[in-house]
Amino acid sequence: MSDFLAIRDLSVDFAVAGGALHVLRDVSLTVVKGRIVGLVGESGSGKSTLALALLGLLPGNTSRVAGAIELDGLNLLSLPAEALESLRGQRIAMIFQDPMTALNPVFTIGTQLVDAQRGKYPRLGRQALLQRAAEMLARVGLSDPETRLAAYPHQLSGGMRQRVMIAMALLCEPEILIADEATTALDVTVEAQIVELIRDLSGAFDGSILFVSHSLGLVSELADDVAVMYAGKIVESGPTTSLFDDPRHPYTRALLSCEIDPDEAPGTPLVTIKGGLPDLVDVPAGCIFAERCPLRFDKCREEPPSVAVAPGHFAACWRA
Amino acid sequence: MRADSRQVLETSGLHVTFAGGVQAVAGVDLGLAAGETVGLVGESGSGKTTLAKALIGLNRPSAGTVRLDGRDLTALKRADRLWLRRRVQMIFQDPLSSLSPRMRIRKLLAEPLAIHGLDAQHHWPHVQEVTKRLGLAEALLDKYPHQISGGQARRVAIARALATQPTFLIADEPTAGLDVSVQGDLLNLLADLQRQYALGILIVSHNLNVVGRITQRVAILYLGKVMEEGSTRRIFQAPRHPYTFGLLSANPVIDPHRRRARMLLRGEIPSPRNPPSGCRFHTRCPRVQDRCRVEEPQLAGDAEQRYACHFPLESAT
Repeated sequence: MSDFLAIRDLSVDFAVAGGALHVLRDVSLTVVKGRIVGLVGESGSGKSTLALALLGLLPGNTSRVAGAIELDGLNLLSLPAEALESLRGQRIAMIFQDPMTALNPVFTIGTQLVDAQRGKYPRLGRQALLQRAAEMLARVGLSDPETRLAAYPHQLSGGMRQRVMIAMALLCEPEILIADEATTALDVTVEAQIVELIRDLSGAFDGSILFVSHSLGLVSELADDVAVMYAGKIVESGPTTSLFDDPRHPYTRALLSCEIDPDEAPGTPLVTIKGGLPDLVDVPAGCIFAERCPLRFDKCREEPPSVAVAPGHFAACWRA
Repeated sequence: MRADSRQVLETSGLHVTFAGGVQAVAGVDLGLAAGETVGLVGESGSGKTTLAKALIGLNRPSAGTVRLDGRDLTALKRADRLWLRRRVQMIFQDPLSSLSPRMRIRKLLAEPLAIHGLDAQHHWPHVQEVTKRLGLAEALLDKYPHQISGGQARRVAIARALATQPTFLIADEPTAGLDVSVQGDLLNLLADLQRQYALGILIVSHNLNVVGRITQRVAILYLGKVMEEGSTRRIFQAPRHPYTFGLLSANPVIDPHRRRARMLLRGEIPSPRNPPSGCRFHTRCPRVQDRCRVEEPQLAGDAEQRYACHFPLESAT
């Protein structure tokens, strides 16, 4: 399969009081058409910044963007603002964490779903667009779509609102769907429903899904491929089974060992990763994880290249 | 969940009703003894935070009782309320917003002593010991809340709660918003503090991994009622209530070899304004029968595991 979305050596800096915060440094990631890619990392890893960069929605204090983001050969970083504007929603769509703030409280669901389609289908009238919206609401599992179209966001539950957001994102048949912590605000039973919905939809949807999450469990259940981020770098990436069965980067291993195993005897101390995130203004040389790494040795003062450890599975570690 | 009346915080037939007739807690018996950790699990709207607040006297029961060492809290006079607060402390979900931005950490830690009329000189060494155990450096005490990190703010909130040497600690979502690499630190600390001070800790959480790992007993709440309660190990290994099974099924599992047969629950928790008839869970239950729609099941079983269900799941044994 072709690399559908290719991020090459993407670097992003934010201007802060002390200088430039290097939030992403030489990040490369390819998303193959039709696959679900899980992007995992803790707070400060840069995963949300990467998602925003794909949409051309980096914050106002962005002081430097370098590298390339290619969608089917088109470099999004060199596009003028208007071209990017028409791409957003139509070729790349995003589902945010909090559906309540992403939906406008003073318009009905129907109006918002119609407006979302206007750019892509300028020739269709309101009735035709409402019809499409109703069909999509049924597809995302909302019963009685006609009633939902007439409802305001506050009249729906959290799970229903997130289904509406997914419907809105899919109405323009995007090629890339980005879900940034899309289930984090939901209860666990509803989260499981939404994850199942995304999995079901991905079968019928010929685009790719980038599922950004802090939850290793969710990503392992949903994604075909996984990329693990730490402090602005992708430290390990590969097919989900390969990566979780045989993690090769010490950070991935450490993160997995921090996951609570409820079957383990109570009273055993829980595992943590000592230390904190490195300073991203004055970024230390060498491996970014070295300071907290139990396997550190002299060589780690040089930055490790990303090496193939199994088919399609890469790790940026001298010990991998 | 009962022991003798000393060193026990317990509710009996507790109801908390809000304006408009919303029954947030609808008849709960829950006990917490000194030295044990109990988990309170439920989805948003299950009433778990309302119940937790009733335990520290922040929500008044509309019926039933909350007792501490056998004394009914609703009958307490103002002076006695202070006695309650000294014995039962709570750490809230958002630690930073529970710290006044205008006070230095040192003053925030001394404030509970002043409120309770405790001699500062005499009790300060205890506060210092707790802050040291929590890994809060002396230099940090001179900072303001906005100058410290979220993890540190959480520790300050815990230190503040422990300043008056309480017997019970109610922790509302203590790990919410924490990265997985640091949540273990906080949970290890709570376990340490519990051992050292023989605290009774109630963990209110929707994180099943956390509850499964650090609690001895657990109660699963749905629309203000206990669906299942008892030994955490037993319930997590072999839940009898379909709702418990649904919750555990929804918890993602990393290792594909350990994923078990699942039961995905449909729909969402209904509004407590108008709870379903019969069993409150019947609208989402995959095992629902006619009887469930009309007759409310009562908690039954043994001390290790009690469940309120007409058609429970098979027992493991």
